[in-house]
Amino acid sequence: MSETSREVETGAALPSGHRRCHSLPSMPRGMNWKRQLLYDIRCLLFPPTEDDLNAALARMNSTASSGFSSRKNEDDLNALLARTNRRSYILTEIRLFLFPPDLMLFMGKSRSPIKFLRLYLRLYLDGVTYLVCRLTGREFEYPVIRFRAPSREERAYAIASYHYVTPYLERRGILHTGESVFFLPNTEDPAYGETFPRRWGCISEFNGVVLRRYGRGRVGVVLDFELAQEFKAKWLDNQKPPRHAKFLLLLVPRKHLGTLVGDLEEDYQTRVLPEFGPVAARFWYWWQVMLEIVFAVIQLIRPLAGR
Amino acid sequence: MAKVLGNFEEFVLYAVLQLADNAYGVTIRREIARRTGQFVTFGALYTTLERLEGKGYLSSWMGDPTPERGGRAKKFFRVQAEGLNALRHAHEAHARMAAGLEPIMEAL
Repeated sequence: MSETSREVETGAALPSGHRRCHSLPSMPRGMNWKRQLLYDIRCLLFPPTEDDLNAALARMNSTASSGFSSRKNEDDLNALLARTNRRSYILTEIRLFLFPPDLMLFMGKSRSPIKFLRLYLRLYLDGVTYLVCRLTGREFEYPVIRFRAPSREERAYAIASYHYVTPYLERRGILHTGESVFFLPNTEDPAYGETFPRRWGCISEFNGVVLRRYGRGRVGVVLDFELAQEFKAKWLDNQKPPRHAKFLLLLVPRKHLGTLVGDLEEDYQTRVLPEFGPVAARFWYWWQVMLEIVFAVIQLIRPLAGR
Repeated sequence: MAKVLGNFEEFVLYAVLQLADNAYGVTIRREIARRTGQFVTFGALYTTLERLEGKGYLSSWMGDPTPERGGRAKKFFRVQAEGLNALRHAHEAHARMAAGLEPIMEAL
């Protein structure tokens, strides 16, 4: 088993079966931002060669005898792989390294960078944990393992598999908008472990509400709107302002400090968080705390300056 | 003669009057932002509230703690008669200063 494969599998807290989830899960073990950072650095330093991509494609073709056996788009696939040269790969890796995504979106028919950025920003700011998708009347829950820059082989597989997976998705009745595809583990898939040695299941673009993000590399997407809202409401109930900022605020010498802290927290919970999402809300809280500190310093200095 | 009110002090007094019994930090700040487009920090707001309270223009009382405030109580404010007087004086002073300038103001 390769190192990459081990990494993917150790982080996988896959569900025992498909079921509707009614509570937020604990964080998957073995995943943290440091590990992802190291992984991203490695991907950046050792990008795949053309041979790697071709070898991955050849292996893909040789094992394409299960559910993903359609080869009707092979010409497109070859053209796509031809465009995936070393330079574009490195540029992608740099971008991913600087702006680590919660979700790797492999743009399918649409390769518009604006659409990518829009989707990415929306996901990044909102953050998610779950993927809940509806498959022909049944609901499935997928805890997402990780999203990150793909490894050499995974990248090749990701590109290659899109063309094989699309007809498969359509047969299974998965909503497919044709905009993008992202990859998720799915142990229940009959082709699990056959066509995709990395055990990536696959689904088309999301069409729901983004829930939350635990940290770098852990996301989910919700396709079920009502369930998403249910989760989002639960999640918002549990959100607290950043602890360190709050602690810093408590050090500010003020007469009605408790009331001020309470007001900030109320504004954070009731207005900023629902309106702008967790990342922007935390930034807002920190900004308010900094302003309070500056204001308190000015108040202290003013009498000394004789004003 | 009533003491002269600062511009921001006037805003705060107006906001407390508008909010009646629901005037506390968050709502006062929102009311000022909604009506004037001016976003103030809680620090600046509380400094002004304390000053107005010290002058006797406002009175305050503590409410119940609520979970969305992290279990902290709200501090409600109410305008006192002296505060109303000061506000009335300020309002009249504004009106006197602007008297006769309507054509110019409208032409702007």
